[in-house]
Amino acid sequence: MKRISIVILALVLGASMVFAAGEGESTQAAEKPVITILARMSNAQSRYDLWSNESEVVTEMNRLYDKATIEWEFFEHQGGNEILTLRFASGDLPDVVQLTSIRDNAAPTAVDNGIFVPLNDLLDTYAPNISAGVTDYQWENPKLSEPDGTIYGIPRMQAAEIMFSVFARKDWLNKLGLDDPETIEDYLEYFQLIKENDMDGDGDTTDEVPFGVRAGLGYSELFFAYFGVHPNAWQVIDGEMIPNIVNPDMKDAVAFWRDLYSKGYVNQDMFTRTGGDWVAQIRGDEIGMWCHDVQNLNTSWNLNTFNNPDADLVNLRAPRRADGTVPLASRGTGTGHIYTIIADSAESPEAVVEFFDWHWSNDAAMKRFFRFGVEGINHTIDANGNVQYDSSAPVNGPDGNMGLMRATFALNKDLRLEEDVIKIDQGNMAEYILKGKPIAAEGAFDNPALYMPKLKASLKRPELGYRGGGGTLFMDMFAKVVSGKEDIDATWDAYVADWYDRGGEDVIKEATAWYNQSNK
Amino acid sequence: MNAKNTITRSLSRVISNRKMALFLIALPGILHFIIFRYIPLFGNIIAFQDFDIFKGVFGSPWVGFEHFIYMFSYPEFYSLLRNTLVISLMQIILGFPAPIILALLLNEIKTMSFKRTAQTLLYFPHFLSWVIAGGIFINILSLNGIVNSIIEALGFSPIDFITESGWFRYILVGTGIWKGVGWGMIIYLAALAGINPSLYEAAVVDGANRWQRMWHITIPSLIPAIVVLFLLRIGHMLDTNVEQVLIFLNPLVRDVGEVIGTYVYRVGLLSAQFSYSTAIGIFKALVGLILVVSLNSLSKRLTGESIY
Repeated sequence: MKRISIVILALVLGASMVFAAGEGESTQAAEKPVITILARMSNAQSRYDLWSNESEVVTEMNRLYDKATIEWEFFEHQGGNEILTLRFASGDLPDVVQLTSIRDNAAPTAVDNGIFVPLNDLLDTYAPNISAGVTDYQWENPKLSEPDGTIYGIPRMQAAEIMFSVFARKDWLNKLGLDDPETIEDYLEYFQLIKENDMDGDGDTTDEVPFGVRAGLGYSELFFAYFGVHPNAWQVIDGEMIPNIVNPDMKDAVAFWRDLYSKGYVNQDMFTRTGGDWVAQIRGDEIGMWCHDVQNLNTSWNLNTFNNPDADLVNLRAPRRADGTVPLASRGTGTGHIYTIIADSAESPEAVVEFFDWHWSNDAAMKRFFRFGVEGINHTIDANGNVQYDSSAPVNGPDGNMGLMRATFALNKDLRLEEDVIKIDQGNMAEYILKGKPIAAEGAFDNPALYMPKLKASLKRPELGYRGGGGTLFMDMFAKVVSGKEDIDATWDAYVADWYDRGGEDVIKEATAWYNQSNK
Repeated sequence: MNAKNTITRSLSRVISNRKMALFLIALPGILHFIIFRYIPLFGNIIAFQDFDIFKGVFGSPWVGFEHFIYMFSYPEFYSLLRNTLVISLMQIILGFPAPIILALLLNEIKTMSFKRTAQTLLYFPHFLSWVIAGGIFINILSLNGIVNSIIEALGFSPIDFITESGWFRYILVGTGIWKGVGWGMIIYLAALAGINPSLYEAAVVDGANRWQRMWHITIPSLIPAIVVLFLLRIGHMLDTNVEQVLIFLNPLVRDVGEVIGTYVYRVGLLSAQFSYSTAIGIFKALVGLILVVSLNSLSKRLTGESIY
């Protein structure tokens, strides 16, 4: 008897709990939709733990945007591709997924299988701000839309059109009595004087490297555009689209690099130097010049991180060509990464599009939040309604939450180079950023392959590419010639012949066809 | 009350039947193998398809042997195969005896505290990831690293080890040995501990010196362990530690350093070529299988030892 009554009691309690929970969910669903977003952590070490869904920041965001509840999920930068692939393969996806393009390696056939929600009509109806802020030309980017015009991705704009720039030690230039280098001869003179003098005061003239280069030419493509052949770009020659890596002028660029290496102007371990070591050496007074993105002046190249308290920096223009231009990097599409809406997960794509549109609007409270953080914690408003922001406060420093705010959470654009951000966030590097941004912009050149989608001919031949995604032919030739292991004339000819032999012919044919078709 | 008794009685009858009891004990392990090892083997079918993760196995189109043909006609395939085999052979010839020798050496030490400390320190590197271990070695072997400082002090010109084709494979194998030898010797130490000490005493009485004792008692006692581990090792002939090679690989040594695993990593990462990577995996597994089966029967005939 006793046993039976206990069983009945347990059943009744269990049932009531189930019904109670169900009750709560249904009332919640009637209120506002929940939007789940899957985003990738950036490479920089940032405090993602401060961005849990219960944190002050996310709570504040949900307070400011009251039409939906936003929940964030992050995945690691390292090995992120594999994680994304697994998520797509298992079908375990949130409403919104951040990708590099709608044909991202993690899900190259997603568009063909109807995984993403087509956005054209939704944008017209629910996103007036986005529609006004993005031009038709920008929508044509293969990262966002298919050739038939169907849009599948919402863009997130980069901080600036060109952020890549050359950095040099201003204090070293002053010590050597030099002006900022402008011509190629100025650059070579700077390099030579560094080799001859003791720059860091330890009595040794040989431990400084003029130009610090990373493995795989990562962030180090200088002295290529000067010869007109940036390895990432293509050119139209005699009606054919030829990639710069097999352009005859590239041989001159490679020869120049070979001379840099043999004279010791670049670090002799440039083929194996990791990014982490490279940063440490720059801060450790060992390198006189390097390349990176301008907005990193606040973080990686903040003068506070340099060992030498007298260190000073300046942004240089790339060496000037005979025609007066200073090309450095190809003009980008403006779009950084993109966001796609998953058809099977999103209960209300309209709510998602509206949320994204909010980021593009002129809502003053929203703009202030993404630029200057939570009121009362990161900034305060004074009697005149102006923002008071203390950049030296710990909560606004590298251990706080502001780094992610502008770089990751503002879904319309990377806000780190906005004018008002630089002026009000008077970090110690504000002036440098203001000066460096226009200098970087001068380095833009046009690349006709800007909107070229992945070519079928190169899918099975990854070695034909420049470097990312399996490209090896060019980098191997470059390494062997520059390090002096092989003679340039014989090696260059053999390399070009090999490139064409292995399918390069088909690549050029396909690229030319695309170019003609899209430029009718 | 009666039902309870009947159930208990039949259960105990089942369990007391020896064969049933053994079967029941083995059941979880058998199920594990069936579910997680044998059933997934059917997934290899995607090597004959143009697999699309959204269409799944039943929706993706069939392409027959296309991927295999592509693999064998890839110009670098034979260079990849050669590099893989050479590096694997080097790892076996140089790396297989290393734990045995180390175990024999450690076995001779009588001070227990020193033996234990040495053991712990020796197998510690096994737990480091190659990202860390590789980074350390790249630094040590770089042009301004410790090794080259010593070389320069002795009057010779520095060698960039990591980018020299001649040195690269030796660096791979050497660092691999450093990292794995401590862990590998544990099994041999266990086998050595199981040798009957009276055998040694009898040998001492007969006038055998240290070397003779090792040659006539220790090594023959190790033969079963050596054969089994060797046969198991051979099955992984084409695997080579991909993580390690990726860390050390650079454009200057690709012709001697690129192995099948790193090629799959490059191609697979580029456009999620699941089918192609699976085809390569099948090829590697087939080669490993043939090697294990043939060497197993050979070993049975020669030494009487085998894994099955």
